[in-house]
Amino acid sequence: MARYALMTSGIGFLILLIALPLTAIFTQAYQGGLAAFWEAVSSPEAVFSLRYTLTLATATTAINGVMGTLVAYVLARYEFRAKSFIDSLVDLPIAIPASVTGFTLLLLYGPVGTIGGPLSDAGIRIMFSFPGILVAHLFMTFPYVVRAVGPVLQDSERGEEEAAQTLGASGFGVFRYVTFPAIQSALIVGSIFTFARSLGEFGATIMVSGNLALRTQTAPLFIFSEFNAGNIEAASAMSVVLVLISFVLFFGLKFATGKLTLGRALQ
Amino acid sequence: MSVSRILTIVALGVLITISLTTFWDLARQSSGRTITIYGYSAMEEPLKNEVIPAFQEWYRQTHGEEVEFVTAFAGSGHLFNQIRAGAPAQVAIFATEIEPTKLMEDGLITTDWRTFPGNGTFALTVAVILTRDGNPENIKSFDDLGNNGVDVLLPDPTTSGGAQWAILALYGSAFLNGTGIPSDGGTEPAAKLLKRVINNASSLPESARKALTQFGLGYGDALLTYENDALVDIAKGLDYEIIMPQSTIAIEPKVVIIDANIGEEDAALVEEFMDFLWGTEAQEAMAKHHFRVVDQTVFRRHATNFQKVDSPFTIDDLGGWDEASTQIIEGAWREAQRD
Repeated sequence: MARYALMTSGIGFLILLIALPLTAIFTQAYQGGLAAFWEAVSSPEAVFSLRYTLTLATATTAINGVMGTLVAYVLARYEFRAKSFIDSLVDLPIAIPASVTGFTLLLLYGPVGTIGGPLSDAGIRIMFSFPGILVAHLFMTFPYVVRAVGPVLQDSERGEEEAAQTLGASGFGVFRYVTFPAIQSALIVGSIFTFARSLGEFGATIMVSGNLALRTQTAPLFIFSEFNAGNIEAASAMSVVLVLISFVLFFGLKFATGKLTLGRALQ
Repeated sequence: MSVSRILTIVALGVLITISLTTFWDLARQSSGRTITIYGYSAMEEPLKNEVIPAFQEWYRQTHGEEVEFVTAFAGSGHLFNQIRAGAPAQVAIFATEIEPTKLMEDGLITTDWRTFPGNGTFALTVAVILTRDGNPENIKSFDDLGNNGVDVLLPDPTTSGGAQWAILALYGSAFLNGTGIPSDGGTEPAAKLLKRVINNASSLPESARKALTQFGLGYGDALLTYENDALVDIAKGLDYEIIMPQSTIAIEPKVVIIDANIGEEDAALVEEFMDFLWGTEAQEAMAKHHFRVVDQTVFRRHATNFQKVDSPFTIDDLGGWDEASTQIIEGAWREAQRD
């Protein structure tokens, strides 16, 4: 009896909270029929924004996949001063409002900023272009890989790595044959979360991208612009595309890793 | 090889292909002649659908060359922040003169827009009230927006130029009494009206366009907005009614050139585009998109599409932008918001 009560309230809440609004987006998007939906997502602006978003997410995931693993490795394997301070820094992007990240980067890398000033004198502009948005996405998604890979590294025995070393394996050999297989699943989980977070990033992106159609407009910004302009069909249609991509990602996650979830990886 | 491994490799292959082709396209784009335009939200349709294609065609025929346009549209305040932070805008159209004035102080603008025809205004509009069909709340004037139980939508003046105009319209209608002469009670009635309206405001969206979209989704009884935006929605067949107050403000958007972002090689092109805005073709396009254009011949052709305003007033009647922005928008409005 308790089982049914718990199931009903748990799943009911999930449906009300997540499934219902998503269904509403689907209904909105299909209001004008499939032809109208296709027209909305196949405009040059829509196609560009989607490609741009996927490109950003790919680059973000590639860089944070490597750098996140590196940071996790350093934190798990070495003891040094201020380690707990550094460790706490990792999680900050989750708590800091995205808009704060956006304007901080804008100021830092802008024409009057500490970094942006000299660069802009040299004719290099980072903000309102791909590198600027990439920096914002790297910032926003940094915790995921570190927090997925970290616990696995902490759990795994340092001894195995040392044994491999004693047996004559090179540094790279140890990583390739001992460390990497241990963290592989966790790395996939972290990467998928990174990718998904980057796919949906809005708050920081709107600040640093300049929102230029066909230049720097990501899919979430496209949705925002279309909604503001009153084109709710186009906004809903692109939302559906992003929802579907995310769904495939997370479904693929289960498929690729069996039972592993971020919840477990984060323990 | 396992299925999941094959799928992973395929997915990675697709993503890498998309990334590389996107970079390739971006790299290719940057060649050729380009103008970057930032415009406040109401400019999106007339510029993207008519003015820009018309200019591209004209340029092709005159110079035998292609011009590419890079565009971004948002609330005036947002545009301002982006341009100040280094966004590459070369031409910008702001809803008010507040932002260009600050950009001039920052040195990004060196050419005074007041030296352009119409002091930098190529198309005007007025502030109106949009209600649901049949005007169920029986709103006749700006003053009625302060009545009990009227749910008013109006954008946020900190980010939206349209909202600043809306506030000036409210304030001016009470302050100038519809006569152009300041009322006996001084600024008191105007401040009271702002207070009453803000108490009725259920939402302050960040741009005039977003306010219009929210209104379209069923929020609010009345929306304070641009006449041109209201006419766009009426033309779409939406069941709204435009209430033209007896006295309202003439809204004069300003087109400016951001000199800091214009290289020597682009100067002539930008100038030609600016001239084009006051030409017959662009004026016709703006009139078609419900703006009251400055070219009187063109305006007369479209005059029947606009309701007559009995006693319009301008920003100068409120003491000009310097005074209006400090006394009314930053002064009276903030005070009304606080207490």
